[in-house]
Amino acid sequence: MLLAALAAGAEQELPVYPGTVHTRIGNDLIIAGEYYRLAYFTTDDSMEKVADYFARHWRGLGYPTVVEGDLRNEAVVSALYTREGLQRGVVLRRHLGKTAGFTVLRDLWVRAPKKPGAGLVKLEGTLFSQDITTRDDPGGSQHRSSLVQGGLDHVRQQVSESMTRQGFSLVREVGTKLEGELRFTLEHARKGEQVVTTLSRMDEQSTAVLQMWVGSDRPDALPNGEAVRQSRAAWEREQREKKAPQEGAP
Amino acid sequence: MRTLALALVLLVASPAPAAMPGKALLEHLSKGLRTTQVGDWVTYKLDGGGARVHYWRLAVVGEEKDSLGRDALWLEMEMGTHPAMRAPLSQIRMLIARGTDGMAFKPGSVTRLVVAMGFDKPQEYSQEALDWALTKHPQPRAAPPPQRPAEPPVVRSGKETRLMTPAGTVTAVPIEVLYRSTVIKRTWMSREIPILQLAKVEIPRIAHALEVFEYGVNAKPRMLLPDPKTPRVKLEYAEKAFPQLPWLEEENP
Repeated sequence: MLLAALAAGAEQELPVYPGTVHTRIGNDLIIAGEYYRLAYFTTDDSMEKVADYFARHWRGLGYPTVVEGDLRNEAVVSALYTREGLQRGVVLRRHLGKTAGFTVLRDLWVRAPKKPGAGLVKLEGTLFSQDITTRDDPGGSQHRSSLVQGGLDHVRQQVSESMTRQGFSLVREVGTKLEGELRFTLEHARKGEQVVTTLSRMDEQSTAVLQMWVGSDRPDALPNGEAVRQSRAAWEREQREKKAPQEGAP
Repeated sequence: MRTLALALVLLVASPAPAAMPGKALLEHLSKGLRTTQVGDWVTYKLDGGGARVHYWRLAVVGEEKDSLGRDALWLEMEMGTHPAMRAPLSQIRMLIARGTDGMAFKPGSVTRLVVAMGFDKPQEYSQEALDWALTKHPQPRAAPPPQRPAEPPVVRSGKETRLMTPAGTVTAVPIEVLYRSTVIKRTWMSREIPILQLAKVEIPRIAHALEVFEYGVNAKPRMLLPDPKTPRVKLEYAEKAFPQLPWLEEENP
C-alpha cells in the first residue's frame, strides 16, 4: 500500500493541527475501495483560524490547495500531493461550541482489491451502496450502507434469505421503535463471523440497510483484543469481589 | 499533450543558432555555447497576467543509448503553480537522442515517454501511443481569413546586453518580431542559460512573459517512475472499449 510504502519506507503522516490531541479513527480504512487514514481533534480556535492554518501551510509548501465551505459551520481544506499520489485534507465542523476537525490522508493511486465481504448482501433494487472496511489487528470489520427499493418487510425477507444461502444462521432478531419508526436488528453468525444488520424504513418505497461484518479467528467472532480486555476485566472484578469480604471481616 | 508539443517545438527550434538572424546573436553564442549535460536544469516563470502564473522546469537527469543505439538524454519536464515543484500539475520524462550541428536535441527523436498528469500515477507510453502522440494529426480547417495585402513581419536582433531576471543578471541578445512598427514578440537568448539558451520571451501587447526563474547544473531525477508491472498507456479503440465498460461488466458478469 502506498501510504506506507513511500518515502523510503517511512509512514505517511496525517495532517496535524498544532497544540491539539489527535485521535486515530480505526487503523487503515478502506472507504469505497480507497485507502484512508483518519483522525479527529477538537479546539477552541475558530473554524476560520483552523482552515487558514492548513491552507497557508500547504500553499506555502507549494501544494495545490482548495478551501471550500462557509468557514462558519463547515469547511474542507484539501491539498494534492501529486508526486506521491496522496491527498491530505481536513474536514471542519462546529460541535458543542468547539471546532471539530477530521484530518484525512487518502491514497489516490492504490485501490483495495475488490473483495466483497462475506455476509454483506447486495440486494436487488439497491439504489445506493457504500462499503467501509477497517483492518485492525485483532480482527477485521466491514460496513455496508445501502438504500434499497422496497418496503421494510420485503427487504428484511430478502436479507434473511440471502444470509441463509451463505450459510449464516439467525442468532437474534429485535424489533424496536425509534421516533415512531419501526426498525429491525438481525444478528447472523457463522463460525468465526458475525453480521449485524439494521433495517429502517425510509418511506413507503425504500429501506435503509446498515450491515456490519466482524471476523476473527475466535469461534464467538469477538476480536481478540476485545476478548482479552473482557477477560482481564472479569478477572479484576473477581479479585475485587474476593477481597471485599476479607476486608469486611472483623 | 499540449505541454509536450510546446516543449518539443521549443527544444527543437531554439538551440539552432544558424537559423537565428543577426550577427550579434551569432557572436554571443560563439563565445562558448555549452553542450547540454546531465545535471543541467532550468525553471521558467510563465506570467499570463494576474493570478495566471505557472512554472515550467526542464532538467536533464540521465543519459543512455536509445533503442536505435544513439546517444540520448533523459529530460524531465514539470509544470506547476509553485517553483519548488513539490506537487507539479504535469510531469513528463522522455528519452531524446542528442542532436548534431550545435542542436541540443534531434527533432522527432523521442523513443521513450513517461507521463503523469495531475495526481495520476506515472505511466510509460507504449510504442503505438508514442507514435500517435508524436505524429501531427490534421485538424479540420476553418474558413480562410479574408485576403489582405501581404506584409511579412520583420525579425531583427539587438546588441548583446545585460538582462535582469529572477535568476540573476545574464548576458543576452534580444530578437524582436515586428509587424509594422509593433513589437509582437521579444525573445532574449543567452548562452549562460542551460538546455534552451533561452532567457526570456515577452509578448508585450497581451502582457505575457516567460522568463528564467532559476537554473543550475545539479539536477537529480525527481519523477517516480512506474514499475514494470504498471500498465502502459495504450490507444483504445471504441469497438473494443465500449463492451468492457466497468458498469456494463458488472451488469453482465
